[in-house]
Amino acid sequence: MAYLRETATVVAVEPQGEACLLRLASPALAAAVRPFQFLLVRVPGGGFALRRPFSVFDARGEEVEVLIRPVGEGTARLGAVAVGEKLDLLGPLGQTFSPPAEALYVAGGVGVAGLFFAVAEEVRAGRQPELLFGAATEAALYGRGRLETLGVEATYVTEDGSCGERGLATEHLPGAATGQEKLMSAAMAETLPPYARAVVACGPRPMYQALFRSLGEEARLYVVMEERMACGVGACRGCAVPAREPEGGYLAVCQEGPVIEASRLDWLRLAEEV
Amino acid sequence: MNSAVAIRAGGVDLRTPVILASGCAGYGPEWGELVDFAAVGAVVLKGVAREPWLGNPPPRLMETPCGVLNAIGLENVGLDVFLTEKLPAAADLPCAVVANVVGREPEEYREVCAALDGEGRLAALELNVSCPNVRAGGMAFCADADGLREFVARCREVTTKPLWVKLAPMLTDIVPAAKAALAGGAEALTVANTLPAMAVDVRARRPVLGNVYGGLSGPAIRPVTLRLVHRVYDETGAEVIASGGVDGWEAAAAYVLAGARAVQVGTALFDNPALPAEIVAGLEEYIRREMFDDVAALVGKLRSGQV
Repeated sequence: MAYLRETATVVAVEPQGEACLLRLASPALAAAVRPFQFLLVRVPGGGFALRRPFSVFDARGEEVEVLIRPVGEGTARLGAVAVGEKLDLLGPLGQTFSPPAEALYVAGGVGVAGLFFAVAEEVRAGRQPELLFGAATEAALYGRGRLETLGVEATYVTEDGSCGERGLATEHLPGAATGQEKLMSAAMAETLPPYARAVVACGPRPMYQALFRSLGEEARLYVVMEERMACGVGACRGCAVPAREPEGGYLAVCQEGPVIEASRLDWLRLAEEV
Repeated sequence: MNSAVAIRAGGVDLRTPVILASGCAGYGPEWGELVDFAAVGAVVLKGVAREPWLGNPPPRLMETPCGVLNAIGLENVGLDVFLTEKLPAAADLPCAVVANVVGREPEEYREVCAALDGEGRLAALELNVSCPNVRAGGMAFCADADGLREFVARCREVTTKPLWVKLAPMLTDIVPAAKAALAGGAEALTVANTLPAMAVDVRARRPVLGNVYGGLSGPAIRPVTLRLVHRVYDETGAEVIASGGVDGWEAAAAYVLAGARAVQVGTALFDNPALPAEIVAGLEEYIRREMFDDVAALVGKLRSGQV
């Protein structure tokens, strides 16, 4: 548990639709953080009891990046910081994770922030990761320019068809059974084989539910979980998500996640929450 | 102990009057090096029940103006794992270690107290009779003074460890509960716990917390708790450990002046893990400036009347 607290300087603020990508000079954290780990960021100006958790979008050299989409007062204030301002960071928090070979990455909207670092590390290691990236509109395909610069093989899906395929990312899984095939198998009382590739997903809960349903219970699905959080270090048990084992029990996202294998989660109770 | 911030409270020698509140410091080592334990007098470990408790459904947290609502539901590993895994892991902490005991019925508390009595690493036991997030066990105990005295006395019978009784803030009057806990054999009173509260998501037209109700902590509750500490100290002269919204040395000093011998920090740790060290530095400076010998000399030293 080598946690660090570092005062970072905002080096650049890059607008990304409604969101923005903050580049932060934070040498100790940049050297320590691994893909899928996250930071707790103190909201500048005071008046907030809790820090805000953010995935590390990317980390290179002496810099870390976080993608901030304003959803409340705290994130709005963080999204409005200027170059030269200081931010108080805690990290690296949570476990890193090594996706199985040739895993498919599936991002939903701002969820790309939870996957970009892992995808980028694969590219830097000479591999060609495949990313399926869905969002409501083209403007919500945050970080698309960065993905293109990196040369990532990405399929874009937008609900309004403004970029790439039209629909939801979960309707465009490469090699997954189509609706027609599912109907056929159901008519013939057959179970379709589970999706062959491992899937690592980061996005909204309904996206996870759709993936879990369409890939089959036996598929290797890994989801990056998000929950309201206080300590980030496993002390308070605030960021609980329903677990399959023990029955009726919970996993702490900050301690056992943020990447959690779908088979460890209680999907019925997760569905009740939404 | 010749440091100006060292103090004896609730039967425990504390290197500093800053105590990590139960539920915010896990079972001890979770915060790692983010918290400077040299500035910590004691850590109160996460509550332990006879059997493991799974806790409440999420969401368990909600930030509110100057505070946090939580409904963790005393999720805990239970006595067996506490004794075999958690307590040994806390043994190396360079401060006093206090267990926090929870239960659904009085007998359960008594059994846990008895099982912890032989643990040399534990400096004291804190009885949590004030959690707003569990139906039985929690606050119900505090409402009936006779019942509380009897309850504390039953725990007193099975352990020689100092007992701290963590009282509920939401009573018509906290003084009868304080007197009852003292009559039952408590060495100190922890005043108090989170305030029962709730939040509503108006867009979803639902309560925010999975448990509907939660407990409010943070600076929002400090003025309420400060009054309770003052009331209890004023009426009973008991050793009081304050717990409610301490977020800096001034809050700590206010509690000490109102009668507390030590303060617990919880919620503010999430924002600032360096808080214990900052409080200690601030208190040392204050004691020097106000020309007191030590923190013990400050306890209850509120001036009366008008300026």
